[in-house]
Amino acid sequence: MNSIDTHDDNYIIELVKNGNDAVFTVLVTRYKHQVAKTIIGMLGDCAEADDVGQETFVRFYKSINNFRGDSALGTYLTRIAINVSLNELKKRKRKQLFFLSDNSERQIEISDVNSDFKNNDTKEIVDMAIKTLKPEFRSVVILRLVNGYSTKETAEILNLPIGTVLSRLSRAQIKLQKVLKKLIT
Amino acid sequence: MNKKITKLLIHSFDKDLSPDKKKLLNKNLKSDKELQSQKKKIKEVRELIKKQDYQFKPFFETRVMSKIDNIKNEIDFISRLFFIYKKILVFGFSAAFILLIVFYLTGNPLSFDNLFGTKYMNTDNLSAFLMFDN
Repeated sequence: MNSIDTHDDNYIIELVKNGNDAVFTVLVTRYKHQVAKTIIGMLGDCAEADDVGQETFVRFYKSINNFRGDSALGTYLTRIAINVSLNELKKRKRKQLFFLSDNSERQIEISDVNSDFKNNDTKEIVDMAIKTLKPEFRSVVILRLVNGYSTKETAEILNLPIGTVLSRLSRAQIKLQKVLKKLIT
Repeated sequence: MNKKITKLLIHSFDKDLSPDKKKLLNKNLKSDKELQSQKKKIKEVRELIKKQDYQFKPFFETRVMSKIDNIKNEIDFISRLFFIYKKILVFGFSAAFILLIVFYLTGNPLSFDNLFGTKYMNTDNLSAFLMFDN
């Protein structure tokens, strides 16, 4: 397996297409970090995030014959990860409507973040700050700032005009600035 | 602080401004202390967000591959089931075809009675058949 690690994505994808499923694990190892950044950024560090991560790779495996390599594999996987995460958030919202006690996707408010400033470390506070954003704003922040995609790539992944991405980024940053005011000088 | 300039400032982090807009922003940045502080704050927020790093729990690859194995097994089962159904279908169609040929050769019309041999049975001999042992 070690020698296969050095090959490029297209070569490994061809092997998988020809029935060598075992090498798929190389792609999982290669892109799990990128997918984790997208999914955990969107959903938070919870049990469902791991399931959604698995689902992302399984969906790619199922559709591997349709992958033509028009976009980089990382971008393709991020697109799947964002879609599966947004579906999960919708599912949570529906669940919340039926079971009022389910708090898994309760909208976190600025006051929640402020009250937790003393109890949590910076990473957790920033996580909570990101969670105060609505999913459509959260997705642009995660792709642009956490994953480091360009504005154009972010627009392509989310299938949005660049202007919309810029305006969402701008509004999200203004909100984050308010939420994180105690952390910035 | 001018709203338009603030918007320009935030956008400057995510897109290349035209030379005119760049000039306007730089001019305002030189003279406006509040705008300078705003720029610093945005930069800090972006740095905080960029530092966020997330990882899946250990053995993630194993979990993905075992899920894929399960899917493959399901697909195998379905294709085997389909193979069996195909055999049954072929057998059924062959039997029906042979029956049709038999009907054609014997000259009998295709009917329920002919198919199941109930042509000569009426309710009387049915009750007699059920009541008495042969």
